[in-house]
Parts: sequence; structure tokens; C-alpha cells
Amino acid sequence: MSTIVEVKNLKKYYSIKSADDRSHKSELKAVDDVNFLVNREEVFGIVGESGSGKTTIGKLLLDIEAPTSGEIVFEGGKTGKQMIFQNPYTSFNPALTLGRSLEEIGLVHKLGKEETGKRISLLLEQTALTEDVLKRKPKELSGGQLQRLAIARALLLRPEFLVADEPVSALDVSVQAQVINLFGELKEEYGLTILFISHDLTVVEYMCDRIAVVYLGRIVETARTEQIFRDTLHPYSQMLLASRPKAHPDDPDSEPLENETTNTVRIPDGCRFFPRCPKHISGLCDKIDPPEKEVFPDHFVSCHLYPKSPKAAPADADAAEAEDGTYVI
Amino acid sequence: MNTLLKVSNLKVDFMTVRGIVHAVQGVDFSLNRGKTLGIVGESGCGKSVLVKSILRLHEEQKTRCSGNILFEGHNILDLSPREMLAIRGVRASMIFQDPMISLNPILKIGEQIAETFRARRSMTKGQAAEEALRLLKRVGITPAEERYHQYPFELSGGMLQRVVIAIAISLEPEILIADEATTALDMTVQKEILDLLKWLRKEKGMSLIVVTHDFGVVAEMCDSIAVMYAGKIMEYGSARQIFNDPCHPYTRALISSTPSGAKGGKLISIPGAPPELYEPQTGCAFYPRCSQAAERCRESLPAMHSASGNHVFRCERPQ
Repeated sequence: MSTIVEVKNLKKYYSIKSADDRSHKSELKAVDDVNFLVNREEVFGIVGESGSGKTTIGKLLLDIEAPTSGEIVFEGGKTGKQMIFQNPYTSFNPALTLGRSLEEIGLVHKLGKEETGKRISLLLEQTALTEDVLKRKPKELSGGQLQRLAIARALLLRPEFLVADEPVSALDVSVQAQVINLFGELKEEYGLTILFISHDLTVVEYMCDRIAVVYLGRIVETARTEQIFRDTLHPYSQMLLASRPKAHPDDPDSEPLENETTNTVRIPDGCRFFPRCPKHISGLCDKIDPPEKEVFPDHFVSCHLYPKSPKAAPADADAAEAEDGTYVI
Repeated sequence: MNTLLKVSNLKVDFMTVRGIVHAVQGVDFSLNRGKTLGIVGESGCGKSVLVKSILRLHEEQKTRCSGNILFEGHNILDLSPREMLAIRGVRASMIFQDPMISLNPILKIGEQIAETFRARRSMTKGQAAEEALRLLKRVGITPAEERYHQYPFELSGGMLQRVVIAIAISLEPEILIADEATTALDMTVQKEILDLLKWLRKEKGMSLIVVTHDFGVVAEMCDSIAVMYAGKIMEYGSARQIFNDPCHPYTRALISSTPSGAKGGKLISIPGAPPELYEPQTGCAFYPRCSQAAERCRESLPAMHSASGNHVFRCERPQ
């Protein structure tokens, strides 16, 4: 398996004015030392709450924002990457017909009128839209139709790498299913690699091959999807999983979350999750930033609860319970 | 059982420049004390219109409501605007999707809660402030003393939704309607808000109506479920009946379009979109999108059939 994107020590700091003292400037660490790589033709999921830096990571990958420091190695051409946003209504020019919006891309990238037209027709067919949408303006389409068109537009230049930022969060379930299926089909058709950003664990579990969980600008856990859902290691990932509503009324009620959510710009000393962490160890977690460890093969976690050696059993009781010889080490 | 709310043959029409929209077309349901009803369906199916008419929140000149909404025996639709004041926000209140829009951006949040006590319970400024502070603590806002003096923009979405809930429950209503109240929130925050609503239900015996398009929220919260499509209830039953034995093709389609579990085959999506509701329906409204549809579905309105007990569905060709 070859790598298409490699992200090394990526940081993006924004300078913000303090609310109390307007002359005092401080730094908002939106992305703070993030490392990951994405393999060709996989769907890589980034999960986290709002404010965790998910979208900023996406924008950095697309060169929409410049990193403060760090490196993004992209193995692909100039038109090789595209992005799809949550709200399709704000990602099209409201004054232009949709046909014009799409043709303009061909114009800018000198595809030629004929080739552009051919690609548009093909993509409309693949996204189950009819030619007459091209005469319409964005507001005349439903959210689902317009999101499908946004996907078609992103594929017009035949990119290899697609960043999809919460692409189904604003859609109804029925329409959400159409768009999720569409991603699956087009991924096969075009051999796409997708970076899928979402706060919805259910959608991510369904869509992604591998997942990175981000918290306050840092990746806290990375693993293959089935692995991370089976042996959820980081207390934050466990909290996210526990907050998922149940799938059936007969499922047992989940325990209330032990700690209040805090929405803070200030990153604490030590582990950034420790103020919310029900398992934090005083004197350790509040002092030392946990390094990333490979607890199982290809399963990385940044947490003091886990030993360094990949072969040792996890210190966490919940994870230890699951140990019944199913681990492949 | 102790019925709090009984809606029968409710119809809501809107007069618009493009014609009359038949948004709710004859809806019946009842809700007992301390119970939770979930109303699910896609956008544009009339869920919000239905629950807003319980509080008479529609612009009266442009709306025509008929039928009955019996709230403890009184028909809400017959009450004078003055009598409505004694119900809306007092005995029945509502929270919406975006808490930022529900609050006044230039008033401190504590004052917005205190305002209710001063206006409705004729408290002094000091008493009202004390009550407001107590409520802030009860909905889990910490540190309450500090937050009291903050403006909406200084709080996160989850915190703001708690403030909105504090205002909604300030006069201890018997029924609380949550219209997509957790849709815009993060997963962990959604859980906290749902846990808060559950606690209020238990503590105060409050009845809840939860409007959502998320089957997870319904599974988590509801005793009974009404599935709405094109202004009508297509299926109604206990949460268990709807999840275990969905009878209407629309309900089945909604459930199977929700992703669950690991990466797998294709999700079943529902082609097309809900109809616009200008024309009165002559056949089943779901007919054009239904995988089970037959000729007679187009020709005649399907009747309500009973599956078992209270479990009913509106379809002539169930599987």
C-alpha cells in the first residue's frame, strides 16, 4: 500500500485578542503537532467535537490555510486534491447557474469546452442528477441534490484525493444514505482517497477504513476502524463512543458522562484531556504530555494509562476485559 | 391512564402567495403524563408545524387550524389569545434547534431567565435573580454565579441550549416540546442534554414531545413514536413496536437508511423527495417513492390499519 499524504508535526496557530483585554494577544492552537498518513484509495476518518481542529486540518491539506510549521507531503498532481463542505448552499455562487459554476472550472483549468461538457454529463449521470439542474441556481435545488452536485464538481478535474468536511451532517437520513452510497460508488470508479471529517461516529464507522480521533488540535488515537471500535483505548474516544445514542429502545441505558464538557481555548499542562478525563492520574496526567505509543500493531494512542510495549496488556480495565486472544500481535 | 394532551383530526393550512399549503392533514395522537412521544420524518413533512400548533405559534392571519387539541380537557384552538398566555411558556413550552436565535444577544443570560419570574410570578428583582441562579445550577451550568452575568456569545452551543431549557422549564410546565433540540450539538453535548431531559421527566413528571429525524435520539428517549410523512401520521406505535416490527414502507425505509455498524453493503436510500403540499392528496402521498407501490395506492387514500394494540399504520400493502 502506498502513501498519498503524509503529515508531519503539523501546526496551525491563530493569533487572537483576549476578550477581557483587547490589547493582549494570545495564541489559539487549532492544530498542534499532528502526524498521520493516508494510504492510497482508503477512506481516512477524522473524528472529534467542534473546535477540535478537524476542519483546520482539512483546510491545511488543501492549501486553503498555510501551516504555522510542519510539513505536508502530497504525492499527487496540482489538481489532485479537492474539498467538499458541510453546507452546499454556501459553497456555490448563488448568482450563477449551476452549469456556469461547473463550466468555469473547465475554463480556468483549460479543459476545453467539449471535454468539460463530456465530463459534466458523465458526472451528472453518476450522481443521479438530470441535465436540467445546470440551468438552475443553487437555491432551486434541495440540499441533497446540491450536495451531490458539489461532489460532481469536486470530481470534475479528476482528483486523486478528496477532503470531505462533514458532507452529510446537514442532510436528512434518507438523503444522507444517498450521499454515503455515492461516495462508495465514486471511490471505486475514480480510485479516490478520501479524508472524511465528521463528528458522527455512526457515519464514520460505516464509511472509513481508518480513524483518527482528535481532541483540542491533537490526534489522541489512530487505528483501523474495526480495531478502534473493538478496543477503544483513549478515555476521550471511550467518552465519544459512550455518548452515541442507542440504536434500539431495548438497548441498556448508557451511564451519564462523568465530567462536564469544557470548551476552552486554553490548553492545560500535561495531557490536554485530563480536566475532563474520568481516569486521570494526579501528578502524572496534569504534568506530562503523554507521548504517542503503539499499543497494538497500527493502533496508536497518546495516554499515560497504556504501557509503551506493544505486547503488554493495556492497563485499562475495560480494554483488558476484551482480551480473549482476539488480538493479533 | 392519565391523558395530558389529546390531538384529534388536526389540520393546519397556510395561505401563501403560491396557494394553500396543507401542512398537517388530519393528525391524531394522545400523550400521557410523564411519557415521551417522538415525531420522526424527513424535513418538510409537517413535524414542526404540528408541534408549533400545540402552542399556537403560527401567524394567525395566514393559518387555518381545525380539529381539536385538548390540553387537560380544554381545546387549545378555541382559547382566546389571553387564555393562551396562561398556557404558552407556562404549562407547555418549547425549545428549538438553534439556541443562539432563541436568546436575546444583548441581554445577560441570567437576566433572561429572571425576566420570566418577574413577568409571570411577580417576583422582585432580587427574588427573580435568586431563582434564576438556582435554575442555572439545576440545568448544570457551572460556575453559575459567573455565567449568570455573561452574554449568549460567551457560551458554547451546549451551554446555550441548557439556558434555553432553563427558561423553558422555569415555570414548571407539564409538557416540553423539543424541536430538533440536539441536532446541531456535538455527540457528547447531545448526550448531556438528553440526560438532562430524562432527569426532568423523572423528577418533575414532565411529558415530552421530541421532534427529530434521528432514530438514535428516538430510541434513547421515547415511549411511543409517530412517523410523519406529507402532513399525515403514517405509522404510530410504541418505540419497541416501531423498531421491532415497522409496518409502513416509509418507516422501514427510514430505519434502513440509517447507517449502523461496520462498513458494509449499500445503504437503502429513499429516492426522490417529500411532495409539496399544495394539492389535496388523492392517493397515498408516499406512492411515488415507495418500493411496494401498486396502482390502487395512487388511486385511493390508504386507511389506518391496526397491526396490534395501539400500533397502527396507513398503508394498503404492508409487507
